[in-house]
Amino acid sequence: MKRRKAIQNLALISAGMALLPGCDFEQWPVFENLMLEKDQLRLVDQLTRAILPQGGEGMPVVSTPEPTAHFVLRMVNDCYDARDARRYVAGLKLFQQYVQDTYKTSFKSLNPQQHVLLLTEVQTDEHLPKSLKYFLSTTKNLSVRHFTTSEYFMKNHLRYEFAPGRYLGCVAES
Amino acid sequence: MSDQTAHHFDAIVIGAGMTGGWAAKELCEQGVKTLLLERGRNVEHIKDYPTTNMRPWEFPHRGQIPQEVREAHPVVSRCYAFREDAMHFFVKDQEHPYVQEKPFDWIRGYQVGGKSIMWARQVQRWSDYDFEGPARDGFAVDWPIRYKDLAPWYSKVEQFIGVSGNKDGLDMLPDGEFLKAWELNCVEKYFQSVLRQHYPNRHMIYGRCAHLTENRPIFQQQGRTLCLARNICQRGCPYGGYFNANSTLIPWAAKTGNLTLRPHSVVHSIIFDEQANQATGVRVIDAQTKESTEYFAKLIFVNAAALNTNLILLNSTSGRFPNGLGNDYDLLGRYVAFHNYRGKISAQYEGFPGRTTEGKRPTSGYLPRFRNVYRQETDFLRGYAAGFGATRSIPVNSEGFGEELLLNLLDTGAEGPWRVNSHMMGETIPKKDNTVSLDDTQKDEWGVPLLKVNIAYDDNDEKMLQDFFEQFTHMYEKAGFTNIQTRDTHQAPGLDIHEMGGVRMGHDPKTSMLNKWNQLHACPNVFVTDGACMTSTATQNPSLTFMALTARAANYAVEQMKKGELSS
Repeated sequence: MKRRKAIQNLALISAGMALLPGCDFEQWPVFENLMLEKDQLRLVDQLTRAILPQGGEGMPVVSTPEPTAHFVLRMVNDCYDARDARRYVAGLKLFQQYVQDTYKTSFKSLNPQQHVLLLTEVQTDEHLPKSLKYFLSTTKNLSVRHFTTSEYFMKNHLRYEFAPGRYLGCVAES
Repeated sequence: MSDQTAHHFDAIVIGAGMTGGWAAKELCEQGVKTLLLERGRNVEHIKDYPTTNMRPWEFPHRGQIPQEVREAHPVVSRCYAFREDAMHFFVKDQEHPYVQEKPFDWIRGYQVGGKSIMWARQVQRWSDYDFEGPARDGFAVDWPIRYKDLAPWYSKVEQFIGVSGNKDGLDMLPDGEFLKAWELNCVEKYFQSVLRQHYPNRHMIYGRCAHLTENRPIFQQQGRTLCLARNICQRGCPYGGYFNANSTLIPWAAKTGNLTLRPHSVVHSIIFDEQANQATGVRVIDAQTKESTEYFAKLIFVNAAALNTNLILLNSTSGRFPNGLGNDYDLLGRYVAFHNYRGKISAQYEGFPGRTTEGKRPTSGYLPRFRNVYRQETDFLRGYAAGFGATRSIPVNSEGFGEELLLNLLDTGAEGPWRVNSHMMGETIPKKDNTVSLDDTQKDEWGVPLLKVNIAYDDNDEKMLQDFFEQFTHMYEKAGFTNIQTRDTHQAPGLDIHEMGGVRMGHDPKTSMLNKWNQLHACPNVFVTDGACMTSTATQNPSLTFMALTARAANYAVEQMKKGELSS
């Protein structure tokens, strides 16, 4: 509850600031198993950017073949079974409602600190519905996977080489 | 020696996979006009490897198989190599149904190259401890050959396909014609020394694999270059760095001018001529048009992959052979066996904390069978080989949200501890009641009866699994490995992709289907040299032995054909 207050206060301070760049929803692929509305697509896009903000000052530029939200929704649409996909969409709707009811504003209009507080609350509050938590954890896990399978991350952080042409069995750890 | 009409050849080879490719190569090289039939599509080396240069992030699902595919094709979806990058080389369940009287995961690759495109490339020779197993331990029938019969053919195959390995000097796993080996890593070498110290007959060696690590004129002639250790072989390799039939055998056979390759050709049955008392050709259904055609030849090699070879022979009925070609004693489709791959064991090692590996390697360690090698010493027959590998990986911290999460992810530093892994490869005992047969009523879209599979583990397999867990736990403990975890995958037979038998070799026509040259006892112009011919399974990955048997049989067939001695 304390955290919720904090978020509301921060919301007042930062009112009017557009903090999350948006993705043009007109270019969204069709996710035929999810049947999402445009505002829901936008929310997932905003959420992935809040979970794992990129392009900040001093931060690496990570280019990927698709925006994170496209990847997240493609994976849920294509690779999850029908039950989990339904649960994800149900959780998304609860998330929309939760933000609206609790913070009296849209997700987009919250600032980064508020986002972190909000997401942490959804993750940790045991009284919240399971599908809401499932929606958040799935979106987070897939966002992380999108990031950690990127060329930047694999080459710079996982020592990935496409065709190393060698195997050294005992080298000093760098 | 050829009768040159469009449907007449000197020889017909059924199946353009690893063994069919060898049969075609050997026959064509010796001037035999050969028709090579393949039920699937053509796959040309390099040209038809659409994913070969894709990076992990370029796959829309990062390797994962879509749910729709998994639900429609549950059997193939259980295969470790059925992933987004190579799924186009596997037969989907619905494309060729079969009847499972007991759970059996039948993993298939219908295309020129067959499963040699996606195979795991481990090539270990058999020894006489394997060939003499059935006779010594009283199961199946005695193998009609011994190691010395096959040794020169192992060499011939190894020199042509390229095998990376060490000369280990082990009697249970004879050395071959090896190109240099990649390294074992520090923990693997350490485990090797622990075994040497505590167990006189247990060896951890480098797993011999069909990869080019050195240049040779023969590989240049094949157009193949060195393996670059990409470890994505299942997609097909643009360098020909590992051996598959597409890069190595098919073009070689084609170059002779004696090869006719016909993809999309489902063999319905082998035609038996009662007057001539020999096989005269094959009945082919065009996979696409469903049209039926016949092709004729004096010599027929059946290399359709173990179970499909059984299927074709079972479906080749005639007045002389009402129960399937060469099946006078109700042996065809019986004594089918496989490898028991159910056991896995992993652990952690705190040693060599500052050391790690660099690059990749397309193989790992290998423990040849150490149980019951020199004498019977356990309450189960035979034994198991095992893979062994040690790796370190970089842990990723995904705690938090927002900038905290980003910083956590970017803060990759020290690698995690060494992880060690083993998996068993157990010999299973061929049994009369482990069978494949034809379904009485159901047919596939080409009018061929569906194959019914009735194969299961037995008590010997369960005991062996427990022994693997016990022995490897002891060995891991001796090495100071911690957090030891055993796992029974409970996987069905078949997922090992080492199904063998049903058309076994032997001395006696009353107890075996094939003689020591892989000829049907009762129809000697038909040869079976794929996994179907196996009398027992041993523990080694079997492809190398299939290839050696094929090369040997094909050369014998040519000699006999030249002497006019192929008919019965």
